Amino acid sequence: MTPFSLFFHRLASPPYFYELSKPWGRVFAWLALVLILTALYGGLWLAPRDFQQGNGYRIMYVHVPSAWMSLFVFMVMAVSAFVGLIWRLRLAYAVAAASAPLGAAFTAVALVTGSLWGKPMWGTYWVWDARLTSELILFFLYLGFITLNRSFEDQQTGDRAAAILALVGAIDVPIVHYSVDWWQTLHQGSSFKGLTSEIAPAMLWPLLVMMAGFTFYYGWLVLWRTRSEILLRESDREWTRRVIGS
Amino acid sequence: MNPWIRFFRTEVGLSWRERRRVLLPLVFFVIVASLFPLAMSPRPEVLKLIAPGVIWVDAMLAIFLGLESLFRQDYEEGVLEQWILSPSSLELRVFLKVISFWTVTSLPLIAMSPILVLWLSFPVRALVVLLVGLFLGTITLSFLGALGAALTVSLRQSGMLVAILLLPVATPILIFGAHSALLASEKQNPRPALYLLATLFFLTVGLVPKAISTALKVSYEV
Repeated sequence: MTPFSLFFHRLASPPYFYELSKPWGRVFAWLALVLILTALYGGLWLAPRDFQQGNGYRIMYVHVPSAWMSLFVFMVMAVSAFVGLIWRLRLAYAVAAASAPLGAAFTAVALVTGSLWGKPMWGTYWVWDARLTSELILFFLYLGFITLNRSFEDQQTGDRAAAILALVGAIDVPIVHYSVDWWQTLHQGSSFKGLTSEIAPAMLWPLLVMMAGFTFYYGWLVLWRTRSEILLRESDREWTRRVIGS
Repeated sequence: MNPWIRFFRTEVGLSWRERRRVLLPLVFFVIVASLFPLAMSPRPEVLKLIAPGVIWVDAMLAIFLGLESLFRQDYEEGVLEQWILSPSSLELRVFLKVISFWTVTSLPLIAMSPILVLWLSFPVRALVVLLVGLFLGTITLSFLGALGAALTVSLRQSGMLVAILLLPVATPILIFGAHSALLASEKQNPRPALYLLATLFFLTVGLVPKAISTALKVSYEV
């Protein structure tokens, strides 16, 4: 066994993960803090005003990273669900269950900030655009995952049922996006085509740093939440008692 | 007789004998459609515009709410356990079960939809497109609904849950289905929408029986 695969085999063991996630979580938290503060300074002070949108465009520094995280977290969930179903790793289910509320929250933030941004810029809080609609459907899928996961008395049944839903959803989200796109082009011109094609470097770098910051923020939270999920799921084990006792 | 054909006929017969299963979705379908003219406007130009959407959303709800109990009885009586233990293909069994249920519950909906078309002042020349769309769409929706029923088979009172889980997933079917009929009523070419609907149909019929089988096994923890 190579050191690499050995690492993954050991990582799948809950007690090992529990030990390892603590220092990693700390590292992620500090990275997130530094990156987000840097990006806030860059985005709110250093970046110039936009000649069309004035200062209003700065909501982008929250909106775009949240939208990115809503997709990223769903991807993490779908991959964990797949790993859980194929290799029956309980840890993978714990990661998926820990991710879902975080993903739902990021999606909600993306939807709300998008609406607030849309009102002054497009003159309306909501349009049935492909991106907005698929983001909304994504939010519903998160809610469905959370509901299904918690509907069963036996946690493992809930985990596996929700995992199937996550996989179906992962296939479905791109289809939803393209179907709404098709429907849009049929009836009305797309109300916006993304941001202006080129973002000035002074505005772009804080955005990228913010996206990295959000990703580490999620990384920290998901490790932290997975630790509690593991303790809950393994509450009858010897090592759990040892950990809680100490 | 081929055992699979016999299985299919048994399933159809079982559902057919329980008339409630056939009649409830049908009555629901008709009553809900009759609410829209009352709630919105009886003017033909308004009705004509909303007719495809009303019929499609109505069919979708009737199917999803009706499918809740698809595997319930088989689960409670242990028949599902035998299916899972049996060496013959669980996917094929699931496929035939869903198709048999569709034959008994959704075919009557399709047969009833011409009456709804008249109520909602929908142009009769677009009827064929609506029926073809409903044919493809109701089968696709039945498979998705069956997945919901399989995921929640061990839960009681799961009707609303099935709808919440799968209505978001089913939106592309709604978009292509309703818009093929709308396009036909506006004398535009409905084929792109129908082809896309057919794509989803094949995708769903090909992949979802596997997902349903996995979901059924989950409820027995195997």
